[in-house]
Amino acid sequence: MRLVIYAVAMFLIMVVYTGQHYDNAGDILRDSVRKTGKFLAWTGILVLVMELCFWLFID
Amino acid sequence: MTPVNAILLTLLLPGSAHCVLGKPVRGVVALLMCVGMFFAGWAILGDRLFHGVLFEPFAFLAHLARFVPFNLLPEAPNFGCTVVANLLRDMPDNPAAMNEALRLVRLPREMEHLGFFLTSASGLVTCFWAADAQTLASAPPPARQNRALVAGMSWILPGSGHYMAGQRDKAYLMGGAVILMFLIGLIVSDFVTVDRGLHNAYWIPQSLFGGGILASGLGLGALEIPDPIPQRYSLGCTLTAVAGLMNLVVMIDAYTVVDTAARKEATP
Repeated sequence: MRLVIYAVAMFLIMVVYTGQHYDNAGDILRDSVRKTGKFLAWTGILVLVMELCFWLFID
Repeated sequence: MTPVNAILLTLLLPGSAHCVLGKPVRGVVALLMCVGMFFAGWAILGDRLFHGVLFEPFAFLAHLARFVPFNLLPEAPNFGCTVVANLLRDMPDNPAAMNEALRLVRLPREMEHLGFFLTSASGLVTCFWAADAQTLASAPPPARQNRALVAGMSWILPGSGHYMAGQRDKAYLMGGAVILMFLIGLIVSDFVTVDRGLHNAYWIPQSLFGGGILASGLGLGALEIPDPIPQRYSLGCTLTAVAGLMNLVVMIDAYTVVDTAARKEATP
């Protein structure tokens, strides 16, 4: 549930962020979907790195 | 008058820059709106207004804060009114009387959600009038819509500024994103996150969505927080605050859309 809220919130933030650069809804939606995917991928990588650090240095 | 001076003069006394710039009617409307909303809210809240200070200032700033409540947000842009309210505040020197005064500040008042909305709105509306005065002073090309008005409309209803500017599908999309984010924040936290009396720090970004704090503050602000508190209470506070910050972007974009269109039309 938390992950779903995170993904939806990220998409909505990206809609407003990309909305500043375009004049029509189609372009905004396309770019915001692309940017959301990119951001979620980076989030996944960050979580994996943190888990790895935890496993290597703390656990 | 330079644009910066127009902004500073409006923050000190709303409407004064408009009068100097030859728009007395607009100046009087600005004065009545900003001062009227502040003092209507202050009449409800009294010294309870100062429950809304964001932080207790460090020792070297405490003397300044005694006269200039720069830490009272989002009212601080309505500088003149906040200074007057601060000077009229009951601040006894006697420690026992001071403790009693501070106790009264923490005591909730009847209709305080309306009072907090009015004082907060006065600060934000002052910013829109300052933007209008800045536009008048810088004499840009005439626009089809008033630049500050579209930003102000977006504050009340996200996307309405874009709608007025003619970008209708963008208005539905950006406005819908802000409103949906605010609603998700309310829903995940059982509708109890917009309450300035409980968490002022979240109220500051939440107040950037005027329609949201008006509807949820007046309608839901008085709801009792369930015990135990909702599992995603903090998440709800965060999402509603983020929705307000998103609306700040929407307001600035609405202003920019109108301004850019006017400059394009003026270019031969």
